[in-house]
Amino acid sequence: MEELVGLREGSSGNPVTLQELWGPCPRIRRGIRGGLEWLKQKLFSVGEDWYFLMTLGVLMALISYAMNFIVERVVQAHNWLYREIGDSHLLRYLSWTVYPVALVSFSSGFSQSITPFSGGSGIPELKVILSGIVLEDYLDIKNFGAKVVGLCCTLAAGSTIFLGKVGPFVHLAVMIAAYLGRVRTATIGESGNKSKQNEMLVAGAAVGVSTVFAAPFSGVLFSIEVMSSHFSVWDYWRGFFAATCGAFTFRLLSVFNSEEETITCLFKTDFPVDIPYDLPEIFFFVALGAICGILSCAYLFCQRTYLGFLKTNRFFSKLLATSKPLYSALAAVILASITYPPGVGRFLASRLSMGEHLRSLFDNTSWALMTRNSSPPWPKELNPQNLWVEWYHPQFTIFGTLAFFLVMKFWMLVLATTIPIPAGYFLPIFIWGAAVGRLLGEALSVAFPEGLVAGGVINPIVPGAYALAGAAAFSGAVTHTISTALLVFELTGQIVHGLPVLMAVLAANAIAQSCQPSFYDGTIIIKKLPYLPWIRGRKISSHRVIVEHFMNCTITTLAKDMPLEEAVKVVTSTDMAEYPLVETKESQILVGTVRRAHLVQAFKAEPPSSTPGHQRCVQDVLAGGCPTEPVTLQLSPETSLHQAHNLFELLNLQSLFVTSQGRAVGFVSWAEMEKAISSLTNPPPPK
Amino acid sequence: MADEKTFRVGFIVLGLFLLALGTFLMSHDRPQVYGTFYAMGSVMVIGGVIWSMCQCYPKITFVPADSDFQGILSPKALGLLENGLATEKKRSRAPAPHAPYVRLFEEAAYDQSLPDFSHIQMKVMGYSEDPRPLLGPQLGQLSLGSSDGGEGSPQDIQAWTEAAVVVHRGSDENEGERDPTQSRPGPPTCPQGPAPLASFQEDLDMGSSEDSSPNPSPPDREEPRPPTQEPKAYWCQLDRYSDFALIDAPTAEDVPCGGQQQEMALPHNWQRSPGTEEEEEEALDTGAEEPEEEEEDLYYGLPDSPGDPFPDKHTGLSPAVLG
Repeated sequence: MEELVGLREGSSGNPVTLQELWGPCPRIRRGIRGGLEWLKQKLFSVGEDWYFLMTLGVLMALISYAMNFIVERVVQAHNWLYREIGDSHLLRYLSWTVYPVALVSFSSGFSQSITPFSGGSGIPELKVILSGIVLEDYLDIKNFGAKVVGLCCTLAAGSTIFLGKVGPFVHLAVMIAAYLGRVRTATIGESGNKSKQNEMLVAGAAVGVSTVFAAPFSGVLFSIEVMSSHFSVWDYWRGFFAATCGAFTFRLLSVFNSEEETITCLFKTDFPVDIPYDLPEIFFFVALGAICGILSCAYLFCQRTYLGFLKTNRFFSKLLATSKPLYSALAAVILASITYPPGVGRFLASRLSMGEHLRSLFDNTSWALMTRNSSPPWPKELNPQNLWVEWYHPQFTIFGTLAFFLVMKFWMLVLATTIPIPAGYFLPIFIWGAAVGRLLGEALSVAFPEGLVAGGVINPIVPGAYALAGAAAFSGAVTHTISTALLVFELTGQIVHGLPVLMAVLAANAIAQSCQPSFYDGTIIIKKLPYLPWIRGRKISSHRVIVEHFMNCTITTLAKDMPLEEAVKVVTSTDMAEYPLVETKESQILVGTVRRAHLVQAFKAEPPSSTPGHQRCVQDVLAGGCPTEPVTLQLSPETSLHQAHNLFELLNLQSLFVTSQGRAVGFVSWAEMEKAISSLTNPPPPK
Repeated sequence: MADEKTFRVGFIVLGLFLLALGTFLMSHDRPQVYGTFYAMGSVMVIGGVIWSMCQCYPKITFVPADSDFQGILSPKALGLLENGLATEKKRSRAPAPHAPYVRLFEEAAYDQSLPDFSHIQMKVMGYSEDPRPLLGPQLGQLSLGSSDGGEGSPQDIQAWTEAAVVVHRGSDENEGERDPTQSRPGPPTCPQGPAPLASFQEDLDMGSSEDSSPNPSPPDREEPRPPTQEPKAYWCQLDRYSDFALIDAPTAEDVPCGGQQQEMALPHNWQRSPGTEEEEEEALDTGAEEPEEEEEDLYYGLPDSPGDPFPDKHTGLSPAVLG
């Protein structure tokens, strides 16, 4: 930032800023400033990035912990109310239903009133931003408060609404990262360097995921997989550093709050470590992966169809446009009525919170075997030691409960994902996948009560391991990532099931990626966000497509020898942000680009041609003070689509000019690229 | 700087958040935990509050130009550009800042469009010293594209005058409508030093000749620079402000050094009344208490009534009043 400088009369030395000359207590200010400068020099000698990354990680961990804390207290209050309200059915139903309805409609109304960007997950938009396209105001710090409040309300509604935390939290982390990037720029004093800003954003995304689960490895890898198409190793270091600081602080705060003795994983499990599984079980793990893949295709298809239906149906689109809280309230009423514990909720284990769902599903006993002979009663209150009893029903047994849970939660989750509140959609699919795995594991443990390998040592089947694999496989298939396998291990501390889980995840991904776009890509498609799709498959003869086939040939160029009136006519009749500048009208040799704003100003500054003999042309205007930018990167008409696509992705470009032997012949922006790619993958029907 | 305000607010909010978190984490067998949180939180809150309070002293502001000057101007015939570009103006004006004044210290446009002046050793010179040698390097940097200065010096003068006058309409909307040339920093050079400026002086009864001569240097130095995003309007306004700063110069030849007027203007002012600085500050304190006002108006020494951003608009610009 440039500042006016001046010197006191008679003093020598460097000029100091005028603020120092004129402000109150100039000596103290100078002293403080000098001290800060010395501090800055000492601290930043190792590079200033690390301090800001550490701040980012610690800050996000604090925010995550505070949110968890608040949500826990609110949920406790609600549980107390539900317990104390007595036995009247109506009152209990009201207390069960009004709570999530109020929270969800408040969350929806509040966050939408502050900014319309605060609803939904946020990861699709971040994917677009990190690929270089600027979505204005998406990372504005004033969205922060709206999103935090909205997210707290969503989480406080708990497993009734069945939504999670990851998506909006990543958005919050990237907002804070952008803000810290500005602080960094102001501290260092260098003007905005776009690549440095991008580094901070990528690190912010990694921190977001890792502080939700206190899992740095999978956090970084998940954010890479979901949000970047190209990732540099430079960003890798920064992401890991910030994510580790965040995860560490997050677990440390639990210790400070006397919830834990030391830093441990979030969900503790007790699986046998010596022989975690028998060899033939790997086949079942892979089969589970395949099943999860098929189910994820179904889920993605239904979710996208329903979202499209909401947008096209007149009634719903009007309702969503005019009164989002009303729609949220209606959806919450439906969801809460179904999960009412004395009613249908009995079969859905609806008294469990999200974390308790996971804890119970990762239980190391086999419920089917335990309930084969005995029939534990349904406790009046939740028993934290025996959470799995929630899943048991005397008539339906655990199989019925689990199956009913899967069926009901499938469509309830699809409904919940369309509510316009800030919510994460990862944890619910994680839990749903764990239930799928648990079901299969229980079935196996009933089918093979003594384990798969006959004779000798008995190694019973552990359905909890199948729940692990199911969670990882389903969530990986829905989001098209593999790092969920690692996430499962970091959450539970169990890495002995490493290989089978990974194989399940790979199988699920193989099926899902060939059938459906991922969850976040589907949202990008539905919301029509500007994102460059990825060229699928090599057998669609994409290598033969060259730039000439899809470039935009109608470009308006400004020649340097163009008379001024004609140039003005061109500028006023077209609406481009940047005009290519060519040498002469005949040669059309591209020499640079000039921005519309500068051009307009230069035109306005032109005096009317008072001397009739001298016809002013564009060249004169430019020399008079209009800056032109050189063209640093050009495409040739013979560049292939793949090369152009790589260029756009690697360099985060928005548009490029196409020149042939120096002549400007066309223009390629990401819109043309996208159209080319989509017409390749879905060729239009021949007329 | 709008950013700095958000940093201050963010700092205080973060301190409050740490205090709240420390309250949550209160556990009596580990007092060092919440003690640390409380300590950090209170340090940040107190530091942020002090930092914010230090921003709230009245600043030096320039008296804006007088409306009388508009009569001196011949309104530019806009020609064919005006109609075609009217919509352009509206479009480009849309994202204009709301601040009526350009904030001299903090405007991003300013720092991007200006060449960096900070390295210029601006020595406050005695009146006898000849500032011309310092102008040498600047002139050397001038792209003396006289080939392009086809308008000639009268045109230059006119451009200068117009540029100078528009200053008090700080908002871009007004400027754009009234002065088409305001964005153009002026003709490339004024190779003849005093001669055109003499007319400038007699037109506006102010300033010293050497004011305008360094003026060409910034716009020309702009050209080789990478293009800026911000309009050059800000830059031009600043130039004009500095012109007006010298209205108050006790001696017309008291042109301090080369480089920029802005630098010259204020130490000029400083130099003028070193002893009265305290009184001025007090006057400013009582007069212009605008604690929330973020604009750093270069306020020219008079205790004006608070909230009156254009103190001298109607009184006319005369050195006596301003002095």
